[in-house]
Amino acid sequence: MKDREVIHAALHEIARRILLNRVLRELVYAAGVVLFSLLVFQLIRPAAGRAGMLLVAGLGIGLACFCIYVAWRAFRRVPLSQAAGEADARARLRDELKSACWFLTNEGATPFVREQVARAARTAQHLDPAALVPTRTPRNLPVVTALAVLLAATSWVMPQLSHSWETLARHDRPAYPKEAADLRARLKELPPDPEVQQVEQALSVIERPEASAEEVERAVKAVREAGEQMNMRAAAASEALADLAATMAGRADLARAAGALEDGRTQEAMAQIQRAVRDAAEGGMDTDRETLQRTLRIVEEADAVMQARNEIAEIQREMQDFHALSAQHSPYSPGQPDPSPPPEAGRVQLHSGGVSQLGARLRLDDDESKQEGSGVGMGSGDSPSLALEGASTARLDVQLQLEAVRIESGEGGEPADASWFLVPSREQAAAAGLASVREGQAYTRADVMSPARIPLRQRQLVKDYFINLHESQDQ
Amino acid sequence: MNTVVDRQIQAFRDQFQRVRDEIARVIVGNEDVVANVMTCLLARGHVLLEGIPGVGKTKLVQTMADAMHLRFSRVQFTPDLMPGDIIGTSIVREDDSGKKFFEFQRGPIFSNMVLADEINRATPKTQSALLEAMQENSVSAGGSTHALDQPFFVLATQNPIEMEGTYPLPEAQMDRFLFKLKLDFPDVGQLHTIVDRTTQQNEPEVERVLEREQILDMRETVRAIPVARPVQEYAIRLTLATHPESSGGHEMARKYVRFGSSPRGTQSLILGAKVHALMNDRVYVSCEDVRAVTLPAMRHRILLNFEAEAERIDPDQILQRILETVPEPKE
Repeated sequence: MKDREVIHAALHEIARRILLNRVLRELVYAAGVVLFSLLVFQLIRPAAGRAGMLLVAGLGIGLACFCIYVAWRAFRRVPLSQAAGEADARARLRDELKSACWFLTNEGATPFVREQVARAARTAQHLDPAALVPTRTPRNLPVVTALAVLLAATSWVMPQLSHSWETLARHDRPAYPKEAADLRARLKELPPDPEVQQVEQALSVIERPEASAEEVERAVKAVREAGEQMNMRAAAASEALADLAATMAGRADLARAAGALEDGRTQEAMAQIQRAVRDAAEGGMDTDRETLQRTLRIVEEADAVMQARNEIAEIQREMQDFHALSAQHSPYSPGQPDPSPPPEAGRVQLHSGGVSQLGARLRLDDDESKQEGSGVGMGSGDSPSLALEGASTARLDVQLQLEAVRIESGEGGEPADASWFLVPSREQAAAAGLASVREGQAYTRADVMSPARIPLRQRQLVKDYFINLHESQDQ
Repeated sequence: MNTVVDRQIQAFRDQFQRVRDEIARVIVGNEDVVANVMTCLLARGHVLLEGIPGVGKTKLVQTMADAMHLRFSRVQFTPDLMPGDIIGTSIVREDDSGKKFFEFQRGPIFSNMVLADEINRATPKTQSALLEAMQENSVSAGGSTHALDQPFFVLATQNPIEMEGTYPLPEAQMDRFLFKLKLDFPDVGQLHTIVDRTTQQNEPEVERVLEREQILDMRETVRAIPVARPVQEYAIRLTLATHPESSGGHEMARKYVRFGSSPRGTQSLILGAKVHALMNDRVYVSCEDVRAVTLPAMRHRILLNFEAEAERIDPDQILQRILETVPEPKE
């Protein structure tokens, strides 16, 4: 083999090893930069908000350009002269190979040049490229590995960093669409009341992933309002059932049904009434049968309202839990007011207005001859039904007693049925104190007449009483 | 396998070493100075020796001339020394028939080794006569040119003290010297040896170990050494690093140097490096050889500015920093 070939062979091998080391070094360096960029991106992404996509695009383009540059740097050819210089430096050859390499390509063949090349060839023959340029692990590999671990940790161990940004991008929108869908499915079994439809509509809003935080807040509020509405309807229904039970208690055949109603066993009460309807039909008492059928419908309606109230209350409670949970995940939520209803919201509230129409209807059914004028007013809501124009007025203490029927003590001084005692919402509690009503039973007329002692909620009732009394006296 | 070149290099080294050894019999210490003087002789250059009186400058040159069988002459430069006193003069002669004619009487410069002692004491006119002869290797007098015998080698000495009444060599003249060497004061051990050798009845004498022709052959060998471009590139980088206005100028040069080295500096580096390479059994010049001769080859070519003078920065300090920082070409 000629001197030139010997030198070139050695230098080619050294160049190959230099290239390999350079590629390794550059790739690890590039990986480090990419990982670091991703890590920084991972950390700043939540704060980027809607600019996240722009950031992703910028980062992608930047990293692509950087990778192309690194690839160009890593894979560019290693000239033999560079390999010779590297070998000289590592083997302390005092520029022997570098000079020989240059003489081989540039210098004329003088005796001294030939001698130098020959000497360099002998040196090159004894070189061990593997020992001279060993394959080295890049020095920054531990740093890159640490970055990779850190990135994995931020991506997997702290998922909120990688998953919550979409939520955050939609301005801290609480995310529980799946749970909302489950809740909505439960509504299908309920009668299509306006409140139920309102809740269903609100849940469908929450179900949409693209719904904004404001829309979700509005939906939650709508559910809460529907729940309150339902509570009032349920309270009215409860009162109606109580009145109905009191009325039915006068009839021997409905005594058991009345007892069941008083105890809140509406299903049993309905069964008893149905039996009474059948008996009336068999006995040919058509008037009684129709009355009983109306009574049965009232009980059924009241029962449906109660069930709907319970279901909506349950949905409201679960929504409260989901909302609170998702609000914890949102860094923007703590400052916002708590949209969830108060803990006592799920309970049925006692309202006087709701009973009026049902009670009036039952009384009318008992004695239609007493009917004067017509019954008007809402069957639900907390506004009292309008007084019957020209109706005979009951004594005020009687009416107030009717108002307080729900809190009559059962055995042992406890309320007969705890479910009847419904704690009002904060708003309602501010409007009327139930305790005041109970205490008011023992008041003298003077006490009752004192505006300061009349609970706000009952003032309208008292006022109506005196207006009617005045009109009756005129008549 | 011993090639012709191998034998040539081996002979070069042997002869070089023989001269050094022979000189070392008389001259105590200063081995590097001796080697550098030899380097200048073989690189066809001239040396400016600087040292305090009595450190053996004249003795060194005389010994070298004796060891190499060269004709030696010494000129003590004084303010009244005229150019003719160095190069010679035409005098009127009369032949047997009584006819008168001019004959050029050769001066002391017509020797192989000329010691110009305390060159800075002569007037610039006289200095120029010597320096012109050094550059041209010939002397013009009486309308004719007289070639100087080869090898022609000038060692000029300068006394760094007692500068009053002297004519310091201009930078352009200093540039003519290949190397500027500094003779250090001998240490205690060397002083003992000097006293022992020079105060007894029989002073050591040198033998002639090198003939004139051998020196000329060695000079040819030096010129034949090839220099690869990367090494040449390194020498150029070093030269440019001394230039304050150059893009490759060193930071220290920018601060302390008024004028950097001339291209003669680069030539000196390469020529000196060639001798150094041969002395180290190499047939090519490496960057290491260039570094080895940088100080003697460049120190007298750098003109310092006032700031350097004020801060007592000497050219050697600047060159050391340049050597530390200027990188070798990687390919």
